[in-house]
Amino acid sequence: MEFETELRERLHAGVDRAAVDLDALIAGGVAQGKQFARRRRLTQLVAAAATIAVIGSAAAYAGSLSGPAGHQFGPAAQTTATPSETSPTLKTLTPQAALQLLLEQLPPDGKTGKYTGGSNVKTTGPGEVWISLSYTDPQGPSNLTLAVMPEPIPLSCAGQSPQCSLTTLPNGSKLLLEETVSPDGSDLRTRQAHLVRKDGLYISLISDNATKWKDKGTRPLPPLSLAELRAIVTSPRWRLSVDAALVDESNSLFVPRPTQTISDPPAGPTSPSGSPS
Amino acid sequence: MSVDLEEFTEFAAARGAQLFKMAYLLAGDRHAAEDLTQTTLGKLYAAWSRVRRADNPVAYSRTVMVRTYVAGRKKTRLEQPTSYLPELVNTDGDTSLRVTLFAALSELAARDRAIVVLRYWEDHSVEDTAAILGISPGTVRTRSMRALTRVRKELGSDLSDLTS
Repeated sequence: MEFETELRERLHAGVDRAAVDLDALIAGGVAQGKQFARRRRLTQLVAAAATIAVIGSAAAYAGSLSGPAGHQFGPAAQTTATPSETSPTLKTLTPQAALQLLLEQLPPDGKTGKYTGGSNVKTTGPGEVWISLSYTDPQGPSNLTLAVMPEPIPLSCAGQSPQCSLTTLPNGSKLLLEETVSPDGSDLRTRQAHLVRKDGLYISLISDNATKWKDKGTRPLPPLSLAELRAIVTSPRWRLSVDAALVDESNSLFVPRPTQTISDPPAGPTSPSGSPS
Repeated sequence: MSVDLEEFTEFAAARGAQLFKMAYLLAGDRHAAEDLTQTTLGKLYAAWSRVRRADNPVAYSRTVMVRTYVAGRKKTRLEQPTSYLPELVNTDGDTSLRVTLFAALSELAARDRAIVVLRYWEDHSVEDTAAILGISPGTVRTRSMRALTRVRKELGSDLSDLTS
């Protein structure tokens, strides 16, 4: 029996007969829900009061500068920057811009296609940008997956394949390089590079031989070497804010999936499987 | 009883047991699973006017639970023991296997554990799992593979021995 099948069966055997006092949990849930709702209303009230206070202070300050009574104010000279416009020349990294940056760094003897990607935004700031594409060289097609996110994911080779190495680079970044063989017995092989920079940015790039998920068995090994993956993820070009021209010019590469907002549930999880926006 | 409370109670009664089982696999012991289930139900009740209009309230409840679990583990990971033996659901048969299995799961990071539960207990696709967790399908594939390797290493030959 395959390991995945065994695991599936044992997970079910572990909990499927678990009994629970649902009435107590529902009663507790309702009580907790009322607390959440009260806290939310209180937060809204405090936020509203703070807004009014700020507007009032600003108006009072402006009034003290405005000269004679009755003077009318013109529109503000500056407007608040939108999340996607961090400065006049920089914009938040988009999936298309990430793809463009990647395409510029891939070995030139391959063709690319099947672009997909998306991003999410956290309530506290930018989230993950990811793209997936096919890369076809003379030996056949393969898959490439890139993710960039401002989250210093702990890297470790503990429990991973023997072909796993973790090093600290001279600039303080941590780099994990790994070659894997799928534990499910298929011929799927990956080469992976994961980098966590000192500024907390995480960049991962995975090249696989496309035997299982996308294309039929095409090649025994992924096309990109660990050295090539390393060169790409350690590039200083990976940033969450990139040249606005790059973002504008790369927009037409593909249509990304709708941006998801990741927040403390239930403020707004979204999913194609049916959760609300 | 208000209409909202009545509807919510009906939903929770239909969905609660499955949520609790998922919480058990995620949290690893009964008390933590009850807390996670109750918090999830609380969040659902607080947002019930939105949940009831959702295309798929069941999917919504699953997403709320998984994200609550991952967020909670991030906040408390410094206080978590790195390894422990969970309380068992049943005491009849299979106890050794469950102890071993749950101990192996406890070695996984929160998000990896959630991926294993979603992929192999609830049979979600890579794409659906990615959407529930709000991460990319590529990340799900990678972490899923790493998690399986880790679980397999932790279990060694126990799984086959105990299931044979």
